[in-house]
Amino acid sequence: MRRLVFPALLAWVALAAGAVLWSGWQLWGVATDNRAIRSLAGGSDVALREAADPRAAHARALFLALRDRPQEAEALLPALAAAPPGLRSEYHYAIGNARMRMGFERIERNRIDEATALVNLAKASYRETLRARPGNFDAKVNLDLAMRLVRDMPREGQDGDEDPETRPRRLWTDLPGLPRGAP
Amino acid sequence: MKWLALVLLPFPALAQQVENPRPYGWWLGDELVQRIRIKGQVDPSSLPRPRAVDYWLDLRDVARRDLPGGTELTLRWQNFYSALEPRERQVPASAIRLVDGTALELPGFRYVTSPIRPILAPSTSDQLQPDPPFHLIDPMPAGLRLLVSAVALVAGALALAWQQGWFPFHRRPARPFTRTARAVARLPEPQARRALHRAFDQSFGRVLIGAELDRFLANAPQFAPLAERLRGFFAASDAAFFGLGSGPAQDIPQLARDLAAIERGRR
Repeated sequence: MRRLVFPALLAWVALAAGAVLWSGWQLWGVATDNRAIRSLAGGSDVALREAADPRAAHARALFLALRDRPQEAEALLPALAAAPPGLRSEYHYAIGNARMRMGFERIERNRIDEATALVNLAKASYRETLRARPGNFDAKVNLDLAMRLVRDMPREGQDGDEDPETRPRRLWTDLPGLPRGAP
Repeated sequence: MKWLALVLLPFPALAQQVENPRPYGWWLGDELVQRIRIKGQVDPSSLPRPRAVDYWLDLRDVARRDLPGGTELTLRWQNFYSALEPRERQVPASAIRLVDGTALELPGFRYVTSPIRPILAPSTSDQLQPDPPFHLIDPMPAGLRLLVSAVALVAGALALAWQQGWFPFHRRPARPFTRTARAVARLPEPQARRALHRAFDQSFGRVLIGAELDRFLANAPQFAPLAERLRGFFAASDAAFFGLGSGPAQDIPQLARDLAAIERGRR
């Protein structure tokens, strides 16, 4: 017992020193990420550090999405893999909004095919948004808007009751378009 | 009796309790949770796979929980039907199997989904809901962690210094041998001898003479391994102080260091 006190105190001090170093490093990381987020919100692009917080990756994605660069924003998805669902939801939502803006801009220039492709991509992003957080109402409204621009069509040969799992696999890709009346 | 067994065989198929989501009031993107309790063990490989069941319906997740005498399945569906008017949809049933081979059908259900925007609302870019905000990271938790670990480090370092009689506590009365071990390193033999005797007196609580050494060792048994050297030290002191000639030369600083190490639990 008498001899245990000294090693126990040494171990305590070593552990506490490790904890100080680790939490100091964490605090430094938070400060760096916050500086990056402020700079991105202020409109100047910065590179993120290796182990950046998901909120920093979200800020960079938002920065890119606001400048109509959704493809680069999509490349940041791995950095948000561990993020809470709310943050991932907002990330997909920002990309969907960027694609919708680009789609509207193509509609104004009367390039309907490009606009259709962009709106379809936006719909996929909004679906991801709602998959991450079903209660994201902004995404519900925007997805509804996108759906009215380009309706989801039932696939050919599918009457709704039939489950794709039980159907033979489709070996040929779909030919585009052929709406059959149903929504 | 055989026919009775045949009649009873499909019975587990009926023994299921279904808790369907409410049939009205669903919007685009809402999650519908269906709970089904089944008597018997479900074959996990026969459960429906989470997937896009239809262009307007996703099966998000299928969770299985064993209950006493049965299984509870939780199916999470997600509605992606963009309705222009309130519209009833039919979720399809799915076939599963029990481990004993009985075929079973998980029932589907109906729900009404409604449009979230007015039918006449224009589909223009100004109708888009705004982009999400930027989120700063709250530095409070990390700062608090740093503060707590710094306090723990300071407390640990102080406790260690106190226990070892190091810097702010280097004059601590309860560590007489530690103090003396530092002092005698620079003293000539007679003064070192006296200093070490004073340390013994302090440790014992009163003046310690050679005859009482056994009592001292009984009080502080941790010093017992040094008993022989202590006896030699006291004998030599008697010789030096009371004029019975001089005993053999002794390494007093070393003896003081050993006593100090034991005193601080280092040995």
